[in-house]
Amino acid sequence: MKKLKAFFERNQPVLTGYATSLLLLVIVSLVKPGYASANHLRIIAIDCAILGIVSIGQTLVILTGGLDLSIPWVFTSAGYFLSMLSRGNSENLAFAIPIVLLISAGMGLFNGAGVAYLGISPVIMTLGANTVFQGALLGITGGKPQARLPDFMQVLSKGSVSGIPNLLVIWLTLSVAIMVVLTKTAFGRKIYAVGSSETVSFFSGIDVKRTRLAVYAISGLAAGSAGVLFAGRLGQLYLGMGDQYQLTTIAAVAIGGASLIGGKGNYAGTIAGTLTIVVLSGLLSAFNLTTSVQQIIYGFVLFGAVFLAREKGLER
Amino acid sequence: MEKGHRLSRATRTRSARGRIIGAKVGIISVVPYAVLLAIYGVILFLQPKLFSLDWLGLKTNDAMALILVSIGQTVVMIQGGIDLSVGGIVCVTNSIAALYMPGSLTGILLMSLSVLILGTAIGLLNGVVIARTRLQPFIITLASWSIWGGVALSILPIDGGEPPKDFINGLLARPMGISLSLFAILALILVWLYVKKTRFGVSVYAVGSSEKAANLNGIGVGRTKLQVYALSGFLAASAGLFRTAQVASGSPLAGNSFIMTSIVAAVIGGTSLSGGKGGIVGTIAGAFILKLIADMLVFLGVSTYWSTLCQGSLLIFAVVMSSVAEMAKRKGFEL
Repeated sequence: MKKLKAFFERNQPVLTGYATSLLLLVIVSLVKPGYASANHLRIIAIDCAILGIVSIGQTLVILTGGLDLSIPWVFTSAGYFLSMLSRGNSENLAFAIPIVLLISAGMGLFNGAGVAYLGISPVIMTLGANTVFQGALLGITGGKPQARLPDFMQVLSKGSVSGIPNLLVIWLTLSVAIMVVLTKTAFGRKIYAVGSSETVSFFSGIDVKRTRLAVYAISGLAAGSAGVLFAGRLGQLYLGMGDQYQLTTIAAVAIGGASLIGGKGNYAGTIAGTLTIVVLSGLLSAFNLTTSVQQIIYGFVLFGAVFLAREKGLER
Repeated sequence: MEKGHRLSRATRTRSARGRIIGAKVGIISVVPYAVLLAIYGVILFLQPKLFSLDWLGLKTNDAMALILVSIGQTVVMIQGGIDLSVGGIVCVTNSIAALYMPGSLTGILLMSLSVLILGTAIGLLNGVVIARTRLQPFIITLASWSIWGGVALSILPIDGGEPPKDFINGLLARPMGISLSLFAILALILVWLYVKKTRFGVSVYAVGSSEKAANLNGIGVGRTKLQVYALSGFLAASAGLFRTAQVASGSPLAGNSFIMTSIVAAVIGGTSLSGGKGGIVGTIAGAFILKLIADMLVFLGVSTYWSTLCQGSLLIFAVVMSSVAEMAKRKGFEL
């Protein structure tokens, strides 16, 4: 009993997140009949999967005490590069997807190099990188929303296996993998160590710089993968399709109870945050609230989440 | 360019070394002005006709809103913070001014005053929350940006509004053939040179160098934070007003581009990201660089789609330069 109580106390932010999203889901389905139908739940699951996959990177970066603001244009670039490399042909995906993922990871490495090796503040470095990526893509595409996607991407992102959306399967697999990495591997421990105290990590023999570099690279990879999957789900591309993820990934991590100073939090929390955000936006549009009101509410939710997670951080 | 202030011993502890105000002026601090001159030189080489006070006035009007926002951003950054809410404040003030500005002179003055008060109040609120909760300024102002951007969108869902002629002509006036904005910049520099030496100015630098040391020296750290964010809000609101006149219209998304560019202008101008170092004169040069780069690309026949890349690369270049300089300094070289 005591153990159970301790468990609840320790994981309070995560459990609150899950409870909130469940409560929100009940409210929406009462307001809007059909919202909780199997078909619609599948759509929600896909939305969650994409936000969840992008947030993997943001979670790792925030755990080290950093921040990745370059996600939007890594995300968008990945979609465009995939379309350019594959030329709309499904056979070309065999080499296009690996190349695109490599480029995305490379974009992350660019951030990581600036933050880890040149000591540039993560906010400035990733904000600048975001502009560089945006500028490069605008220059390359000439601002045209061209781009045809291979049919296979739509099959992958929209399809499902015996009723369960492919994307949900991909997301759950990645979630389990990332939780194992965070709790069971040396790399995971290093991430928490670097986020808790850089100095102590350094004197414990942890390669702080390389750990930082790695989390930004993973964040680029996560954003790129999500961008590719998102493009497939949409069946088309547009410049600025990743913009919303700058705020929502941070919010998802913050709602999940992670400390934005680093060192505290876990991916189970981020999953709770992801569910909360997706269901919340469903609720807001169910009430026919305009984007303006949604934006205001997001602001307050972000503030509230950070405020609540201020002192008590999660254990991993 | 930054002259040393006499601060007490404690501020000059070794941990703060290299960031104290009294740091020697090196070659690196001349870079922004050299870059600005070079860009101006290229433009004049390509278009010699543009060597005129008229064109300069036009460009200053063009850059004025950015300059105002960037000055606020610079002061916040010197204090060690960052202000992303300037985006939301410009959006809101631009929308309100474009939509509700009355035609009469008293109406214009009262409306402008209320808009400025609104901006200052928003900034003050940011400052209070940051000082009280001790959360990172980045997150607080990010939330604030989202909120006020949303408010702007509900005031003015799409671009529009027609500010009165007198308001536009007033702000874009050219007494003696020189744009009002040129005078304004001159005045801002003079005010800054004075403010830097006041209690407030010294506090901003001291808090940015080391909050602990500032606190031990009896500087009100919380109060200084309130002041810089309020100032930034006030300047962002002024930028919103000026943009209303300059564009003669309102846009609920007008402010978003200012967030990035104001930070870039400050960084290019030599303001340190870690606080305690920098000044607004460099920032003004930085803002002009950003504006003139787009012109230069046009005159060079390069597609404007590449100008975003140029701005971003310039920021990365500037931060890399300043971080390399910092590293070199730690190893004993003076750049």
